[in-house]
This record gives sequence, C-alpha cells and structure tokens, in this order.
Amino acid sequence: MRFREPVLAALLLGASLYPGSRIAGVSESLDIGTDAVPRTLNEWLAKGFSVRKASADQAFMDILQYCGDRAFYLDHGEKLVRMAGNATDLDPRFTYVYLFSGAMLMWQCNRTRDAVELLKKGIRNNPADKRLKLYLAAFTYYRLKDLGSQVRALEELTSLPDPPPMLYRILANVYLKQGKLGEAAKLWFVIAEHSDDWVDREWAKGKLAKYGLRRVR
Amino acid sequence: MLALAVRNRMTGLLALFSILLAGTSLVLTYLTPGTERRTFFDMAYLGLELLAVATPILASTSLQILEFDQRTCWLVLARPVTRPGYAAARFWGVVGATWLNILLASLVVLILVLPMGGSLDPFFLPVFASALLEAMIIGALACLATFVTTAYVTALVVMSGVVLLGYLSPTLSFLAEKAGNPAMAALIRLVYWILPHLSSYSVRDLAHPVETWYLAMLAGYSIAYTGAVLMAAVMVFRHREV
Repeated sequence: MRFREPVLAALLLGASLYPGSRIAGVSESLDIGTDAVPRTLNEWLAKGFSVRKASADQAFMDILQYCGDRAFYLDHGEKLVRMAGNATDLDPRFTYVYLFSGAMLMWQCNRTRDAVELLKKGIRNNPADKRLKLYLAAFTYYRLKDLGSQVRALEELTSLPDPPPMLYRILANVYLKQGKLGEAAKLWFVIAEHSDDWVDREWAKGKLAKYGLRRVR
Repeated sequence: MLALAVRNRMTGLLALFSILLAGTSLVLTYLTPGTERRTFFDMAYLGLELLAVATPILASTSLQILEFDQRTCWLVLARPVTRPGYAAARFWGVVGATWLNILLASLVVLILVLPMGGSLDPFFLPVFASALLEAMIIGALACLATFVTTAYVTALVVMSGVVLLGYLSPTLSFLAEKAGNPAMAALIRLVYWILPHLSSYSVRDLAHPVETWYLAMLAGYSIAYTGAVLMAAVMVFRHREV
C-alpha cells in the first residue's frame, strides 16, 4: 500500500516514454524548418517557444509599415532586404513575404539582385509553389527588357487563385507602357470594383478619371 | 470542484481574456492585407495555447489561496473526502474550467471566421485537441506544485519554470546529443524524460497539420504523463499538513 503511488507513478511515466518519443520525432520531421541558425534573441525565443509563425506575421506587419513609410522611398528599400530575410528565416514557408517583398524590391526599388536572391530562397524552401517561379521569370524578363515575356508571366500570375492586388497594378502599368490602354483599363476596373484595399481602389479610380474612362452599362 | 473553479474570479477573467484574444486576432488582420486569414488563425491558435497553459496555473494557485491559506479544505476533508479523492476533484475542477475556456475561445474563433469566407483552417481541429490535452498536463503539474509548496508565489514560479523548460525540451535533447561526457548526457536525457514535452503540443507551428495517429499518440502521452504526475501529487498530499 505504501509503495502503490510511487510504483504507479513510475509505471505511468515509463508508459509515456513510447508515445513521447514518437511525437517528439514527428514534430521534428514536420518542423517548418529554418535554413538559418537563430541569430537574434527574438529568433531564438520564437523557435524555442514555437511562435515562429506568429513572429513571422509580426515581421510582415513591420515590412508593410516600412513600405508605406516615407523612409522606404528615401533609402530605396534598403532595410527591406534584411526585414524580408528575418521574416522568411522565421517561417520559410511564408510565401507571401517572398512575393510581396520581391515585387517591391524589383519594381519599386530597382534592387534586382536582392529581389532575385529572395525569390531563389523562396523557391528553395517552397519548391512546389508555382507563383514564386513565375515571379522569378517575370523578374528575369524585366531585367532582359523582354516586355512581351514579362507580360505573359504576369498574366499567368494574375490568372492563379488569389493574386496579390499589387500584381494588377504592375501589369496595368506595363500595359500602359506598351500603349495598350484598353487592357490597362480592364485591370483598373477590376481593381476599382473588387479590391479590398481602398488605397488600391482610389488609385484605380484616379487612373480611370485621368483617361476619362467609364464603365458602359 | 468544477463549479468552484468556474465561479473563481480568476477563471472568469481568463474567459474574458480568451474572448478578447480572439477579437484581437481579428483586429490584427487589418494590419496584414493579403494574409488576413493566416494572421487571424496564427494569433487565435497562439491564444488557445496560451489559455491551455495559463488557465490551469492561475486557477490552481488562486484555489490554493482559498483552500489552504483560508483553510476551506478542512470543511471538505472533514466530510469525509479521501485525500486522493480531493486531489482528483481539484485536478478535474481546474481542467474542466480550462476546457470550458478553450471551448469558449474556439467558438469565438469559429464565429469570427465566418465573415472571412467561413472555411475551417486544417490546423483548427488538431490545435483544439492538443490544447485540451495540454491543459490536462499543465493541470496535473499545477496540482502537484500547489501541493508541494505552501506559498502560491512559489507555486507560480515553480510552474513557470517547468513550463519554460517543457517548451525547451528539444533543446535538452540536442544538448544530450552534443554532451561529450556520457554521465552528463544520461543526466540531461533523464531530465528530458521527466519534463513534459510541451513543444510537441504546439502543432500550430508545424509545416503541415498533424494526422489523427499523432493526436492519438499525443493523447496516450498526455494520459500516461498526467497519471504519473497525479500519482506524485496524491503521494505528496497524503503527507501534507493542512
């Protein structure tokens, strides 16, 4: 009687060893996987306490704030490279960060090398993601000044599910550069009527107003 | 004991906190256009896990003040209720209150997800199940800590330490592999197996949703480990002066 509880406790602890080893092994194999050893205390804590996804979300919020700030235009997105690197180190499967930051670096900051490196990292970590490859193709055509191929790559990207609204803007600008006002107008109408972001909607409405375009009912 | 734990002011505050946390997840989505769903679920899952960890610890320590410092446990033990029965009731009271909180927070998450398209995230059910199981382990450990120590602050500090080490258990495993000295490696491995593997409950931070067999293994581990800790708690409580 005296030893019943310690013996039971030891037996139960022993019984927890098998499922304990199985779950520990699986959680390691399903790890989101970082290709970088934690460098900062924040990264180490995020890994240690399994809050990498939430920390990556917070890092993405910082990126968005920075991109909407005047500092972004003044330093030509210099900090964006590091910030995108941090966010994708925390969660290498956060594909939207590669897409958004890559596009900003390429088309807003003219930082071709950084944009391509970021996309390559994204493809390395997410080999099955089609959008990352198409972005890289669009970047390459942009660099080669092959506007036709760039447009084809961008058109393919906008036909995929949930394209980022920014992509419509980029494609509309390229159409305009090619003198295809009708094609650009179609996209402006899509943005003006369907975008969730009021900034995008106002931008598209401004463009339509500038060219005196109205939807024919 | 469940009614006592539910009536506890601390549990009520945590229930309110759980609703606020889920609501905050929705507010945060406005800061991440393009990844609203991801942000919402990441934050909501983090909140669920936080509830599973914080509620049993805070509910147990506040019950300790009520039962041992104010001596209300005398009334219960004089009924008579056996000490193992008292420990089991205390455990299920705290765990039951925590499960109710997790259920409430999950319902709020489900309601809030409706305007975002309504489809359920594949991580939702595994996260919900693992939060319930994690609450069991933390509840048992909190029960043990409040029986071992007489001061609730000490219980709080001890529990926080165990939870921190439990989350860092993969680091202990890594240290055991890297330890040059076999005796040191064996000691670290022993500590690793005694501590709860809390990082295994963070299924929300994995690359893919876990399968059913993983949850079955997690349930097996949780039941065995909780049982072991409860046995230790009963053993301590048998010899405790109240």
